[in-house]
Amino acid sequence: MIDDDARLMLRVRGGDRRAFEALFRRYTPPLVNFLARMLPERDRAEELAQEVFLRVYQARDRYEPRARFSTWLFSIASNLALNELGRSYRKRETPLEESVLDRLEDPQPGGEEHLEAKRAVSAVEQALASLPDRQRAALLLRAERGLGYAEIGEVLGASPSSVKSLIHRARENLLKLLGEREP
Amino acid sequence: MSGCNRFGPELDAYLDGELDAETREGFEAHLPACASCSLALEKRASLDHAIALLPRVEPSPQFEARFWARMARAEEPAGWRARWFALPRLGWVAAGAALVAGLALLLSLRDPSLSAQDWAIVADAEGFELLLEADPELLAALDVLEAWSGSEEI
Ligand SMILES: [Zn+2]
Repeated sequence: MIDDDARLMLRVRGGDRRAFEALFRRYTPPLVNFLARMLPERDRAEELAQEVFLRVYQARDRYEPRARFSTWLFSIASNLALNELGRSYRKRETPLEESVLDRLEDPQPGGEEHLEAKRAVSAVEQALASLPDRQRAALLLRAERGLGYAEIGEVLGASPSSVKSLIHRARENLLKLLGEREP
Repeated sequence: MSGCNRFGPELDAYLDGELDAETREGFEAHLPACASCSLALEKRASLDHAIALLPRVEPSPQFEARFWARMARAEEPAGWRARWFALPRLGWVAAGAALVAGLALLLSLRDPSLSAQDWAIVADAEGFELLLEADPELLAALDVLEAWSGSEEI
């Protein structure tokens, strides 16, 4: 089964530059978002996102629609991000004091509640950032991209059962970091 | 978790719709009677909801323009440099005079369109192995260029 993106990519392989532009526009937002959550520096995340598209374009002649196009794209992105993170030293975990999950719902613009919601967002972002890299990647691919375990496994080069364990540990760690300790 | 440790990663797999039918039925039978698992499941669901609610990190306004500039550089792997090295060997001597003239022009203009990588490769002696027998004037010009590029912040 060939999805719409794979069809576009086959046109790219055939030399259609507009098809590449369409894929670039479609995937720039999710890719930049994913890499910005994976890497500590925003500029570096954008550079790597560009690198991903560059590699896709350079590999166009060899492209075969074996997996979903997005799976392929996020595999390249995850590899680049995890390599990059492996080279720099690990950030320290900073557990957050209070529970914030309840305060995330329905932020009202203006006023105390808005400020609370902003704090909550930033707490979740910080907690995510302090997860071990592969746990963070697996959970982001699940919670933000909606990928299944098999696909996450393809992206990260892991078995579905390792993915299950990565996601379990990611959620456990996040709940601890966010102060939602088990009763 | 405290209270119940019958299900660990299965809680997550259940939430993600990744449990096989048998395990899922077992878990669903267990769930109504187990406050601990119910609570753990609820927290995981609200955690995922929180992650999904995070504002997306948007690409910066220059992202697209920067990318197409990078593409243009990548698509023409070395521009003038590639054409340069593609010249047949015998052509080098003839090219020597043109090169000297060209370098003089470059030195005077300090063409900002040449990237740092271009200069680094020009200054890279290995790249010029082909030229061992070449016009001494040409080699002298390259020395000048190398010294110049080493002294500049490029
Ligand atoms: Zn239980």
